[in-house]
Formats: sequence, structure tokens, C-alpha cells
Amino acid sequence: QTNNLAKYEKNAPAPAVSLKDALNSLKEHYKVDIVFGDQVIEQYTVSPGIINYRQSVEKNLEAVLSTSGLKFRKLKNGTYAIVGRMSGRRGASLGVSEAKTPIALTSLSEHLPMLPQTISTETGREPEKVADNPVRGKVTDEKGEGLPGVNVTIKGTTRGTTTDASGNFSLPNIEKNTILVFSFIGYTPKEIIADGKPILNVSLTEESKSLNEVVVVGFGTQKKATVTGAIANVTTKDLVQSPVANISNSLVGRMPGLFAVQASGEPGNDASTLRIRGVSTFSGAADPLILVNGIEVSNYNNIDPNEIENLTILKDASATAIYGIRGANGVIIITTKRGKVGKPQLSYTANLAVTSFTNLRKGMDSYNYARLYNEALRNDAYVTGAVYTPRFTEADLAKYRSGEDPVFYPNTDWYALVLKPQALQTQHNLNLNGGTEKVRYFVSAGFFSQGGQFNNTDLIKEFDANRKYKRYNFRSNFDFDVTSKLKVSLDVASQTENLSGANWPTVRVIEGIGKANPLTSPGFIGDKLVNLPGLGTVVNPLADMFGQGYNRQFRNFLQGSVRVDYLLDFLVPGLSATGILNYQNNNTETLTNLRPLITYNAVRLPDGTVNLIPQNIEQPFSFGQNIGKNRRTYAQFGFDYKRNFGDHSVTSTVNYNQTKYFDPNLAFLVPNGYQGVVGRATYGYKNRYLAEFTFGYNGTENFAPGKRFGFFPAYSLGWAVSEEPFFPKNDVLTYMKIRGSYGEVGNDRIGGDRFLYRPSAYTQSNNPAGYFFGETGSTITAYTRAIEGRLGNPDVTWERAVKQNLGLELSLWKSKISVTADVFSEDRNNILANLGTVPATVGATLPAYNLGRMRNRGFDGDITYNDRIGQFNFTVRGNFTFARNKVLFQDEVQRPFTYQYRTGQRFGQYFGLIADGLYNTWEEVNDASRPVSAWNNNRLQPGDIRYKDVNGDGIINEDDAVPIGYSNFPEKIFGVSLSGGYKGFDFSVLFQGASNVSLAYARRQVRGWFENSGAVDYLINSWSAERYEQGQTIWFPRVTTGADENHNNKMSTYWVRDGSYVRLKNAEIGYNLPKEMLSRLGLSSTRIFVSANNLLTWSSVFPGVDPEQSGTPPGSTIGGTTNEEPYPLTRTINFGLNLRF
Amino acid sequence: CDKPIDQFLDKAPGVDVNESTIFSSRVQLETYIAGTYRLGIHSPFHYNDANLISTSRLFTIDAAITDEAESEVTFMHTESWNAADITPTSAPAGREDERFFIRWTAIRNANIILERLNDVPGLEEAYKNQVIGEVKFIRALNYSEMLKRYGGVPIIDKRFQLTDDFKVGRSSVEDVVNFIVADCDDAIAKLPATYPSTFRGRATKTAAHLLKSRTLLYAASPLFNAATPYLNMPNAADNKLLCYGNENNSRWQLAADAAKAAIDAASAGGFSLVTDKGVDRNYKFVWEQPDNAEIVLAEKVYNTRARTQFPYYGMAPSSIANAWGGVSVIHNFVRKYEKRDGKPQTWPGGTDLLKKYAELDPRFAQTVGYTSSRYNGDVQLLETFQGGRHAADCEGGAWLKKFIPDAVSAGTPNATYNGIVFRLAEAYLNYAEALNEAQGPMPAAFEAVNLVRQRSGMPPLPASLTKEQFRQRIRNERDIELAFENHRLWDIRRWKVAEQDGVMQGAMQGLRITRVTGSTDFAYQVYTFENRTFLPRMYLHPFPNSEVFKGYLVQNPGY
Repeated sequence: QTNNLAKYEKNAPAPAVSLKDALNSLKEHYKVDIVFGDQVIEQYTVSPGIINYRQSVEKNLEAVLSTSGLKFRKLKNGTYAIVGRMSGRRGASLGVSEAKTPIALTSLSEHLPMLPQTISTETGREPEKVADNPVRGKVTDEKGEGLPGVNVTIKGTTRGTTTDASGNFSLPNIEKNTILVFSFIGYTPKEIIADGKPILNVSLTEESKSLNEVVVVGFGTQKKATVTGAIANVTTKDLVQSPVANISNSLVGRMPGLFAVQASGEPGNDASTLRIRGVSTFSGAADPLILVNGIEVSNYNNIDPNEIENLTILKDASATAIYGIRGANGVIIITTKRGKVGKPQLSYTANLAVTSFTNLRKGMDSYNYARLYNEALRNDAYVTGAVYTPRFTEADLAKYRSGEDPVFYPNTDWYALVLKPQALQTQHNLNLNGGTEKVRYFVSAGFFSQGGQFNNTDLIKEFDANRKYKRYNFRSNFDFDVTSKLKVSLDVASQTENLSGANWPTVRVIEGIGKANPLTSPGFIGDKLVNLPGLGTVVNPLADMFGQGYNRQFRNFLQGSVRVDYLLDFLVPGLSATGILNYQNNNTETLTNLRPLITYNAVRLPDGTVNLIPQNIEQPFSFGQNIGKNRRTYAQFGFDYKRNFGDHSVTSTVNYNQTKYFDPNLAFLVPNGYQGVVGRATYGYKNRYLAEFTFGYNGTENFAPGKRFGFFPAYSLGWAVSEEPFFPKNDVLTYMKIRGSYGEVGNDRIGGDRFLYRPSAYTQSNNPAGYFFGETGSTITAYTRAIEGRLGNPDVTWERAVKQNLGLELSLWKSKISVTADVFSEDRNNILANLGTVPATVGATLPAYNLGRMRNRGFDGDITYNDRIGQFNFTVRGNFTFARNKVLFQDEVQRPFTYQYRTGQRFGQYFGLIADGLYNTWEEVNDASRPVSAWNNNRLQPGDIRYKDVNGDGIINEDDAVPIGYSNFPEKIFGVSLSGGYKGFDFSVLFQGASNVSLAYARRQVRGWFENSGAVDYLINSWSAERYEQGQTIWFPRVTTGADENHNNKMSTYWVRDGSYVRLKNAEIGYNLPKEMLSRLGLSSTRIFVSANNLLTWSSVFPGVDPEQSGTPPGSTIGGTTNEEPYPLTRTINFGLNLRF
Repeated sequence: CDKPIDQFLDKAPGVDVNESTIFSSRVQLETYIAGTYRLGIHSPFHYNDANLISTSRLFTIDAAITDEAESEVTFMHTESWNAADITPTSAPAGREDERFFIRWTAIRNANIILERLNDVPGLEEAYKNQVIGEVKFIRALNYSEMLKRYGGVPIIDKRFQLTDDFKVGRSSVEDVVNFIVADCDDAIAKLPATYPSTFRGRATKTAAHLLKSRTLLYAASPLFNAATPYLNMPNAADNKLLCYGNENNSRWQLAADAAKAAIDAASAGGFSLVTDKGVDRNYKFVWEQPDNAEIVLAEKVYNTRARTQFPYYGMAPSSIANAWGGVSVIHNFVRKYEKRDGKPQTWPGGTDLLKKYAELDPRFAQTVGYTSSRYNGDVQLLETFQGGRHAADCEGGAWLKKFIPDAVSAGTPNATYNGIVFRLAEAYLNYAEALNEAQGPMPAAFEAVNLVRQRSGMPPLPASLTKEQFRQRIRNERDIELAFENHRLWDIRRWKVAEQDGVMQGAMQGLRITRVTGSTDFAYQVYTFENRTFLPRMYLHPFPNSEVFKGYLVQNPGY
């Protein structure tokens, strides 16, 4: 075996090596990208012994470039660019004609079509005038740091210069209105018209969409140019733009292929449901696999976004097959920031935000509530044949109307009593980044605090019922180059969260507000919370909030990883070994304290005075504690191989990994285990033809020995058409790649059940009690009961997903526009599903069978447009995803009518009656040809819904229910962002939307009076004879106190509505203070910014209802019978400051 | 060679309980028996226990489906029944039968125990017999609960294996009755007469007798003991799923014999009518005091319950307990109470309501919370008159007091409820009814019903009653004595009287009560608060469509 090191160190003297070869050697050895123009370096040679592999790549670069006068620059993505000779310290003007080496990057442009247009070396015309009219200035990057080596040319000529080490340039003889072109590798070129002033400062923005970009893939990274899978990512810049606690909430609209629905705004509990390319299975979990730095974690939402370098989603099989059984639903990989060589850089960010609800309903006032209550009773009396007895007399109504007796005839606004308009949110992050050749570090500490918007939360002393969330983040990522061959990374991260507030779930608080009516409690009299018994069940959401006490939850998540990379070049060039050990530990402690709230019942004494009778007595706090914990260990060991042979490049990786997850809640207290061998091999020819093979070979505990390991291969091909010699070089289509993939991925889970193959396990439980035997008061004793578990199916095996993807990547107009588009299809077979046709008479829970089939197809894509107008540069990005699924087979019961089959429909498809307006008159109701209603004993009346008799049998019943609308999870989701900068200012806005989605209103969003419930104010638009005659707005059928069984309350197109929406999801404006001001303070940059989330929403839902908050989990078809109403989504207005030292 | 690899994914041995563990010792087996009781013993009340029935909610009692009561709140399942909104698409029979699914699990448990009992080492024969008797009793109880709701149902007498054909269809009413009776007979033979007090609540010989008695009484009644069913099946051969297909008066004699056997077995089991608390207290004691001498079997899923929990929450008026279920006792029921002299009371309207009340059968005051009476520890003086504190939603004019013990109040919010499944008084009433039907008003029939009347201070029935008169009196007696104990709904269906005006059909009446100035008494007016609908198909429940669509059940007619 030839040793590179030996080659250079020991075989001297040797003939001089070309600089190109030396750079290529460095490229290969350090596995870094070094880009250069062939013409720039072709004339140089270096002495062969100059490279010392014991040193860092940068030292070596300095060495090999030392004689040429060329310089290198490290770009953000880690690529090194070799740039032209810089002028001396004095920054003397250096016309291109004088330069020995024009900055000619012709060959580069072949590889890097996004690079600035090559400066023509053909002789342009000489300047006509040689007057001393100089322009000088400084070229800086986004951070205001000087950029050395930037080409500055006069448009249409060969004249130009490059900037010096500080980024300064100077050009003589520049007339007014001359166009100067500033270009630099990895940065968006800029054209600026000289305005005649002698000073011209220019800021260049980094080209983030460079094809040189390295993207994260399963178990490694790849150059974007060589990727053949469907991958999308966002970087820290986008993530920190959203002033939200939760990472999942900053992703929506940012990436093609990612669906996100946020159902709740509760502090500390507001994560979005994420689905990659929609839903492909009708049973089991559809959540994607989430990895942080390559390792599965239980919770990723609590990571401080400032710690994140990049978040990548892997969409097709070529990207996810390597995760085998866990990759079926796609993979999200979060990569945290790591240290970079350089002096320590300290960054501090502070945010202060105000949150408010995006939208809130209003309760109906007590007069109208009482009036319509009577009307509802009158309507219902017709149905039940009862004698209409008004609940409120005319005198009562008059008192509600006048408000003369606020104690006994109150008009309580529960929304105001229970919710407050604003809460504060703060976030701080301090991070330190830097390192030497040997040690690099990134250390970050963060604090986040979010307040809840509950009001009157201090009714019990030492008890703040408001929901509060505090989070403390810490992360340190260290990289040690122990020797030139051995690299060790040590990552430690911790998230500590404190949640506190009422022990009553927030969904119940919100439900309670809708449930509370305005007249069974006057709210507060003085500081006493008062109820009025005797008007039916009192619903007092404020009292309820205190009813279950107070809880404080302390959660700590700690994880540590050691990663060792060892270069095995001495065995096989390009070979290295990697081992990872990871340990995660989760601890939760919940303390509950309970002290009854004293409420008062109001009683009027004969003398007219009001007596408030306490309903409870002062009691001390009781307390309880609950401890939860779990831990996960992960180990991985494997080999990487990466080598180029001339135009051929080959990489491969293979590793073994295993996971154990310990949790006291796991069935049988047995830890959950996975193991697998995974691998990938890629081949590339001149970056033109690409081929890739990946596989996962995984085992799971859920299947019987012999069936528990599955092999999941994926194949993909890519063809960079624009790299072909025959492809005409042009300025319009500068890059084009076509890629396709086919692969299989698996799933082993259904619900939370484990060991699906084993015979039924029994649980013995005494909590809650099994059964009591014995005599009350003396010998009665609780006996433990045994319950038979789910039966086992020894034949159960993998659910398999076949994923196919065809993608296209384009760059247009020198990467002003870049486009990615993918079409995909996924077929799930052997879906682990429950039998649907097993009679209840079996009396047991039957095992899962591999019996379902489902298909999911669609397309996603994004388009980015970069440009500038004068000093205003901007980027417009749009992404769009469409995914439609279809259940192809499930064990479904026989239905009387074919249109009722769920099979063949999308997952979660709503079914319901077709509402065709309302009956408005008795003539319509009494029409003999009107279909008979199966409900309300067919006693319909004006104001009832007219349903379509789909099967024409003259009866409206469940048989007339057809697929209506879509499901509650959107089929289309999109985001459009616009960002840009002007001098020190930068801004961005993100619009996000979803469609092909249905919203089934929760009960209290569209109904009132039932169960003594309150009513939302817009129910005043319910049908009544008067409203109908007067031609007033009618949104709802006649009022009723009835519940779900009523004719009008059946699931129908009346209650399942279009849930499409468009949101101004995020907006930000920032300003970078001029650097001159800062240097005296020792600051390198300072940015102040204002950002906002969920600013505006456009949708057709009822006012005060958020289209994302149907209250039902994704895929649920329950619809309008749910009581659940999550904590409303919040709008955040944030003020922030970032300081860099 | 992949053994070490595989072991990483294997389950650690011996940490789980499987069927072999259950049948490895008596201690383990007892846990499975306790679980079978929990699933199999029916309660007169509805549950609010997601651990037992995942879909359960707080429901009021089924009395509000009948002429006994009206639910205070409109969202209870009883309202669907009263409006004849019972469809196969709503939860099993309009949520009345929320046990539909767990019942089959109880039956499966029983079948597994019968199949595996002999595998448990070292069991004494007596204990084995007791266990067989218990699980056969539980299986029979579950079948009898299905019989009265659905008619003939599939008979599952062994555990299904995964390879079996699950689609077992309905058996005829006759086969189901015979199946229940055979189980009861075996249980009677094998069960002990008594247990030590620590095992109170387990099935006894007397309980099995009573179950057999009730089943045969239902089987002999007009709904099942008929040549043609209440509605014809589309396929005439299926009519046997609804009734015997012939009327045979000897079925009444079987019912009478079974009831007599239950009465005879009671004393050996230590059961007797409560007669020692005073004629004005005996009846209340029976429903208020759990495990009293008259209780043959009670459901014991819980020990104590809070007033905000099942079952109190489904019964107490919201104006008293801020609960959800207030059960208003309606006048259709109140007028069934005889006067203390055994004569009917008249209700012409007037200003002497309390006087009218005072004349009634002592059981009235022990059952009904009427205006100016003491309700419980929370309410010393009930006000159901117009404008009174407890008048809201009290359409009947009175609140149900039975089953809400004095012990449960705001001050002491927990109490043990009395979930009566069988009590001895039922056996006497069963006997009297069946004997009269079989042989006419025999002295033994009078003797049986009079025992029940006399312990509550009511005079004996006149000996001159004809068979038809006796029938009416015994039916009335059943409604008064067993009121609100979840008998009425099934009695009126088996008698086929549900369609009669004022039973489950037509006008439901209440009292509108007003204060009389210058008097401590109240004026009352009988008024109709509601007209209910009963459709003939409602004589039996519909099976849920979700099951019918699986293709093994023939749906009951009319649905």
C-alpha cells in the first residue's frame, strides 16, 4: 500500500507537482471541497514536500499557495475557494490588463454554473478618457466583514480589479453611470451604477443555493450536486426568524414536501403535527423519524433554534431506506452547529415578544341567550310533543336586557374573565464559536419563557393557575483532532423545561369558556367568585380551572454523544471508521398541589339584600408527586469509503447500529430494541452520471424470530444533463439534473402494541380497582383483576412501502432562478392493520394482520428567484406540495350502498349528508314528497336542514351519507417567502397556506344551549321565521337545545366546511448597525429586528375560529361531536437584538 | 448463529403474565375471576368509567325512558328514546346498551375459565364447582341481559380460536332461554349457598335461582311467548329470533316454579326481606344500605363514590348537587301509588297536595323527593313549587330520592352506592305474577305479594281479585316496589304494554305546584309536559349497524 504521506515526505527530491494536483490531493485527503479555476492555477507548481498532512487543510492551503500569491477563502458551507491574487496592502489599482492572471474561471463555470460569469479575457475597448476620476470603496459580506479577492469589473470591458485583504478596492477613471460588476465565488454578483461619488461601498450576499452546498443525508453528508434523492432543508437563518418556542412551528411553509398542522397554542405544548408528503398509512403512526445529529430522539421541539445549523427532511426511499423499518414516514434530521477554526466569536441574541390570540369567538349576551333559549325550547317542544314551557319569563328577559340586576340577571363575558389579551415571551441565547486546528467548539446557552393568557389566575394565594413555560437550553459540541487520523467529537446537550399552571387541562379551560353561559354566574362580586344555582347546571370555567389544583412540571432531557472518526488511509486510501455512542436521559417530575377554591352562591334575602354563601371551607394545600423517566442508548459502528479515480468517484458507507429504549411505561417493563445494518454506495462520473444504492437491514422486537429482520433496498440514478458535452452552453438554462429513485421502506408498529407475534399477555391491575368483594363498611376489599391482552399473530411481519420519486433540478439565468420539482408515489403493502369485520362476539382484541394497502401520490417543488434592483437585493421563494392518498384495501364491513365504502377513499375522508339549504316554510316541510327524516321522529319544522336523499328511498338516514369534502389534513400546502436587503436593512415575509382540507366544526363553534351550554355570538344568525321573512343573514338552522342525535346535528356539508387558509405566517425586518459605530464597543456586528408570527389569516371559516383548530387529531372523522377546543393559536410580535463580539 | 443478535430483540423471559400464568395457581385464577365479575355483572346504573367502557359517559338512569321519570337535561340518552330516535347507527340502542361490547368479553372470559380450569393444579373439588358455578352464572346473566334487549343472539359457548369461523349467527329465543336455564341449573347445583362475609358479592345459589326465575318469567311473557312476533321479520323463518313461535301457558308454570325455588333457597343463603326497621323505613333501608339481608347480588365495581361521580351524578338534580342528571319523578308514576288503605288516590287538582301525598303508600316518601319533604343532608326542605329553589327543570313536580343516600352530601361527598342486581323481593313478585298467569290468583300468589306489601305497611290485596285484576295489581306492585331499579323498561316491553298511552307513548304528565297564600299546603295542577313516541320496532333493540354490516347478524325488524 502506498501511503500518501510517505509519497510526499519521503520520496523527495521529486519533480515539482502541479498546484492542481496538490490541491486535488488536499481535496481527497481532507474530504473538503476546494474549487478553483483551472486557468487561475495552471501555471503554478509546488514543491512536492510542501504538504504536511499532520497539519490542517488550511495550513496546507497556505503553504501550497504561498508561492503563487493566490489566496483561499472558506465559504460557509465549508468549501474552500481559490481566488485570484490580491493586491498589496496599499490597494493599488490593478487593471486586468496588468494582472498576470486574469480571474478567469472558465473551467469552473462548468462545474459551478451559479458562479459569476467569467470575465472575458478578450480585449475590450480601451477607455476613451484617461481622466483621474477614481472610485474607491469596500466590499463586505452580509455581516459587514470585508471580502478580499472580489472581482470588480466595468461592465462590458475587461477592466477591473480585485479587493484587498480588507475588502477595499480602488478603480481609476470611472465615469458617472458606468456599471460596475462585483462578483465573488459563492456570492450573488451585483451590478452597481457609479453615481459619480468617489466612495462606493458594496455588500454581497452569500449564494446559499450553491450546488456546492453540502446536504445532510442519512448517516452522512453529500454534495448537493451528487444527490439523487429527494431532500429539502432549512437553515438556522429561517428557523430563528420565527419567534416561536417550538421548532415544528417554524417549519411550515418553508420546505416542499412537509405538511404541518398546528392544533394548539398552549405554552410548552404547541407542537405541530408534521407529515412528510402527507399520510401514507391508515393505521399505526404516520410521524416521521426525527434525528438530531444522526441519532433518534424522543423530543426535538425543545431544542433552541439558535443551536441548529440545518434541518433536513428526507422524502424518498433513496434517502430513507437506509433507516429501514423506521424510514417509512420520512425522516427529519436536525444538525446542530459546530465550531469553526478562528478566534472566539460570541453572539448574543435577545428577544422580547408579546403574544395574543390570532382569533377569538365572543359569547352571546345574556338577553339574546335567554331569548333564544326560549326559542330553542319552543322548537324542541314541537319535536318531543312537549308543552312549550319557557325557561325565562318576559320579566326575566327584560331584566337581562336592562342589566338592572347584575347579580341575579348577569351578563357575564367569560372570554374576558378567563382570557387576557396578551402575554409576554422572552428568549435569550448566548453562544460561543471558535477553535484552533486541534480543537473546535460551539457552546450555546439559551433561555426561553412563555406566559399563558389566562386571566384571574391568582384566586388562590400562592397558586398561579396561568400556564407558564420556561426552558433552559445548553449545548456544547467539541471536535478534537487528536491526531491527523483520529478525530473525536463530544456533544453534550440538555434541555430543562418548567411548566406550571392549573392542573386542569387547557383544552378543558377553553372548552369551559364556550360551555359557560352568561347567566348562571355573575362572575365576581368584589373578589368573590359567585354562582347562581337553580338555573340548571352551573358552568363556571374559572372555578373549574382551580378545581384540580396546581401543577408544576420539571422536565429534563440530557444527552451526550461521543463520535470517533479514524482515518484508515494506511489500509485503503479513502477508508475511515466511525463509531458513535449516545445516551439520552429524560426525567420528569410533576408536583401537584390542591386547595379548594371557595366559590359563593348568591341568595337574595327577603329584605332584598344579597347574601353570598361560601360553598367550601378554607383547607390547606394537599400535594402529590409523580415521577417519570426514560432513557435511550444508541450505538453505531461502521466504515466510510470515499475516493476518486480520475473522473470516477466512489463512496460507500456501511454500519451496524442498535437502540434500546427504557421506559417504565413500556409494556412488561421490557426495553424497546432495534438493531440493523445499513449501507450506501454511490458512483459518479464527472458529476454527470450518478448512481446510488442504499439499504437497511433491520430487526424489530415486534415479529417472531425468523420474521423479524427485513431488508430494505433503494436504488437511484441521476443525470446532470447540463454537464454533457453536447449540452449547449447558454445563459438561460445553466444547470439541469434529472434524478429518479425506487426503494422500499418498512414499518413494524401498530399503535403502542409490542411483541405483536407473542401470545396474548394478561395485565393484572388494581388501579383503578379490579372488583370489590366483601361487606360494605366491614370486610369490603379490592381484588386485583386480570385482563386478557391483544391476541398474538405469529405470522405478522413488515409493512412495506414502495417509494418512487422522479425529480428535476434546474438553474436558470445564472442561478437567478433555481427550481426543484419532484413527483412521487408511494404504495404501502401489508399494512399492519386491525381486522374490521370480526364480530364483537369474539370478545377479544384481535391481533394485527398484514392486510392493508394504501397509495399516496403527489408532487412537490420549489422555486427560488434571486435578484437585485440597485442596492436592493431580494429573494423570492415559493414551495408547493400536493399529496393525495387512497386506501386501496382494508378489512371493511359490507355496506348497503357502494358509495359508503371507506376503501377507495382518502384516509380520513369525511362522510356525511348533503345539506341542501333549509326548509323555510311549513309548506316545504309539509310537502308530501319531502323525504322522511330518520331522526326527530320526522317532526321537521321550518329552519331544519333539507338533506339530499342520495339513494332516493324517500328516507333520510345514514344510508344517504356520502363522501363530503376532504379529510382534516390538507392535501395541498404551500409557502411563499420574500426576503431581501437594502444597505443595512433586511426583511422577510412568509405567506403560508393549505387547501383541499375540511374543517368539521367542534360542537360549540356552531351550536349552543345544549347541556346548558353557552352560545357563540354569531349564533344570533340562526334561522327564525322573523329572520327569514325579513331577509336577514341566516348561517345556521333553527336553534335547539338538543344534542348530537338531532336531525340538524348530523354530520353533513352544513358542518364540514372548507378549511383552506392563507396566513401571513411570519414577517421580519432587521437593521445592521454600521460597523464603524460598533468597533469602538468591541462589537463586530449588531442587528436589531422586529419579527412577527401568525399576523394575518384569510379563510372562510366562521369568525373567531382558526382553520387549523378543528379539535380533532389528523385523520379523525369524528367531526362535529367533539368538545375538544385547544388553546387558541397565538400571534407573536417580537423585538430582538443580536450582538456579535 | 444469529442467536446473540436475535436476543437483543427478544423479550426478557418470565416477566409477563400469559394464559398459562393465569391458570397456574388459585391466586392467579382469582384475579381473572375478579376481572370477569367486573366485566360481567350488570349494574342498574350507567357507568362513567372509561376503564370499563371506553365510550361511556355520564348517563342518567333508564327510568326516564319509561313512565317513571323524565330526565332534567335534554342531552341524555333517554331523550332519544322518548322521541323514538333509536336507530342502528347510534351507539348500541341509543346508548342504553353501552355494555354491548364488553358483554362478549365477559362471556369469553367465562368460556376460557371453563376450558382451562382443570389445568390449575391442586384445586379442591368444591372450589372448582364454585368457580364453574360462578362463571356459568355470569355467562347466563349476560345472555339474559341480551335476551331482554335483542331476543335471540349468537350462542358462544366456547372461546374462539383465531382459526375459527367467527360468523356465528343468532340463535332462536327458545335456544337462548334454554341455554341460560341450563347454565343456571348447573350453577344452582354447584354454587355454595353462602360465602364468608369477605366474599359477599359473589354469585350464590340463590342468585342463580333468581336469574333463572327472571329469565323464565321473561320467556313466559307475551313478547316472547307468542306465535307471531311484534313485527314480522322479512324472512318468516327468522321470527323465531324474536319469539317462541307458539304461545304456551305452561311456560308460566316453569317461571312460577323457578321463582318458588328461589324463595325457598333464600333462607339457606341467609337472605330475607327487611322487616325490622319499621314500615316507614324498611323500604328505604333496602335501597340505602348496601349488603342488607335482602340483597342477593349487587354490582361492586367501586367501593365509595363521590357525589360528583357515577352513579349519583346521573341522578341528583343540578339545583342540589350541581350535577348533570336530575331525575324528575312524573305524575304517570306517582298516581300508581295506592293510598295507605289500598285504594287508589285521586288527583283532581286542588290546594291540598301535601295532604294527598301524606295519604300515599309509605314507599312513596321513601322513593320520591316531593315539595316540602326532606331530600337529604343537603336539603332539609325541598322546593319544587313554581319559583322554588329546586323547581328548575322539575317537569314532573318531584325529584327522585331513591338511590341517593343521606350519606352523600356536600359535607360528606362519598358514599357506597347500592347497585342492586337481584334482591329477594323480586322473587316474591315474580312468583305471584307467574303463578297467577299459570293457574290464576292462587292463595300462594296472594301470600307472596302481600309479604312485600305488608313489610311496608300496605294492606293485603283483596282476596276477591280475578286473574285479570290480580294481573293489574301485581304489575302495579312491581312498578312501585321495584321502581327505578331498572325493571320497568323491560317489564313494559315483555308485557307488550309499552305502546299504551301514558306508558312509553303519549302524554307524560307532571304536577304544576304553586304556593297557596295563607296555607302551608300547595296547589297542584296535572299537566302534560311531553308527548312521547313509541314505535312497535322498539320492543326490541336494534343491533348496531357496525355489527350487522359484518354479515353475521339478522337485524331486528323495523330498523
